Amino acid sequence: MKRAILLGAGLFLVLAFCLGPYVWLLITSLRPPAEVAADPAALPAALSLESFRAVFSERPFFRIVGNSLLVAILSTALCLAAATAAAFALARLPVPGNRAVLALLLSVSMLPPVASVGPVYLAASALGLRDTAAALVMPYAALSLPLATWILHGFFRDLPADLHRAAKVDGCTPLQALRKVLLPPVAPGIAAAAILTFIFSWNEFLFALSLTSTDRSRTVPVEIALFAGVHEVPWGEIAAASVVATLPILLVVAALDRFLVRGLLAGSGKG
Amino acid sequence: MTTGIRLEGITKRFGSAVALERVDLEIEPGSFTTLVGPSGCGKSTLLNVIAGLEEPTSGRVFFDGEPAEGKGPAERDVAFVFQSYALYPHLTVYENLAFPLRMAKRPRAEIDARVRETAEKLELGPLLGRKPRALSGGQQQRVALGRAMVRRPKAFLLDEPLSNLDATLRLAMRAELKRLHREIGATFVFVTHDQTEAMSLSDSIAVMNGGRILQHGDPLGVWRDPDDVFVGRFIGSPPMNVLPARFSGREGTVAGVRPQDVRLAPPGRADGHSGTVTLVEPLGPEFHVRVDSGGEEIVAVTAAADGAPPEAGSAVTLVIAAGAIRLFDEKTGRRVV
Repeated sequence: MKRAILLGAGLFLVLAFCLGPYVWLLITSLRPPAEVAADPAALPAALSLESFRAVFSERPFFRIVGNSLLVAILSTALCLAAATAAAFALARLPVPGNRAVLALLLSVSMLPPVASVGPVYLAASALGLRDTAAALVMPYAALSLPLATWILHGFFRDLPADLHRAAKVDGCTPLQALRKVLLPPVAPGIAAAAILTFIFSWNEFLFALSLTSTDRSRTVPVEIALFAGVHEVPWGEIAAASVVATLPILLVVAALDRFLVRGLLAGSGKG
Repeated sequence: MTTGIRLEGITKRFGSAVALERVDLEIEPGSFTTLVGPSGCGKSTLLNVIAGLEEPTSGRVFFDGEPAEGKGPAERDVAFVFQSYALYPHLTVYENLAFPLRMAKRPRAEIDARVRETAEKLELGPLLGRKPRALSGGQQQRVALGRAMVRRPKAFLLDEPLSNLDATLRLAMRAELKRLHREIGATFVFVTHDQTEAMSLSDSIAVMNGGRILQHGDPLGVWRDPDDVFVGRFIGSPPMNVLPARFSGREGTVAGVRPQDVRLAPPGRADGHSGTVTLVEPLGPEFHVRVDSGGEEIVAVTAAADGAPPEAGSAVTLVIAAGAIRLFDEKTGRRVV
């Protein structure tokens, strides 16, 4: 009984810590802007959707959300296509030095992204890709590649080796074995890697800030950061935009969360 | 349709570890040949080499006299049954059976006909719509066999397919396998560590140890006349007694005697070795009697029909017929006489 109370209290604290800022954000987004400007931290006296209206009608926010979705979806697709092939090859094909490749991938992922912003900016300029979605898609896919490959490698490695051998006996080429036999059982791993890549691409700020310059390609995090004017910070609009920006991720995670947990636990046991 | 398989000087190394060492083997068309040996003896590796799942480090594999180098399992037209069954978990029984035919791009009608024919033979008809995880171990085993049969391959390669079944089911599937082999008439190469399985199923057995084939022949011949002391101990239950030179009467040799050839007589006889019974194991139709004779443990098997054997602690004379003794070189273990 005492244990249950302690456990409940502990859970409540953790939840309050994690969800508190989000609740505050939600409340702020639903207050009339004038009231927020007067006292950003007060409890709401009245509810209003004015901040949401302002975000979507006074700014090109639909376009920005569209940019973000396009970039996140394309980077996720590109990253997963490469990661799946790489993970399968490293786990199941006789690739010389496959352990070294995995170690190298891991060490590359430890480099701070800021170290590569400069070169990526120069490369994007040279290719004429500045301020395009492609300029973000390629670095995002590359930055997510190590983690996605590691997650999927764990899944492929946990599959019985005989499954791939059976596919060979039945006449599959390596690609056919991957597509027809090994891919369906690792679907949870693909879902997990997809969610993580999507979230990373959706939230990424540094590259987006450096490589985009107009609403042609600007993504949500950068746009929200630019809401602040010289004389005022429109907290209500920032809160409303942030709430909107959280929705796609909430939806994706809610739909696939059991895969996410399994994906993150892969390698620690049976997937 | 039946295929002979010949192996010439197969050596397989994994890094510095030698898995197979200059293995030669001739597998007769249509035979049921078993590779038997303890775990790690190289029998599964040899089967993989035959299948084309592993390339040998050196040596050659021939199917009907044709070299098989560089050919994958499908081109060799062999089917493989795995110990783990390796059924495709996301496909139904029907789709599992159809898979090799679909890969071979057979016409749809032919696939359907062959899947249904195979399912009927293995009594899988009612299970065709199920996924593997909804099947019992025995049913999964039959699907694995079916996936091999449906292609009508030149040869069936089976890697310990019965090891994951419980004892009762294993006996039933053993009989089933033998029946299938007779019915299909294709070449079967079977791998097991279980000498009883090897003896009961096979036309010919190849006993392996340490990456080599020590003896290849018909099961009874191998049992009766082991070429090697290891073979004598591995084939047959309980294992052959291996006794020092004073029992063989010849320096530099050891004497191999089957427990079935050791007779227990009353003490004091001059034509045998005296000893004391240390343990009696009743197995129903027979007794395994352990006797200590001058520090050597010798096992004798007596038939229950001959009455109860002497109790533990009794003095006995062990009588071994001269013709039952096989002599092996003390150092190499190879047969001398």
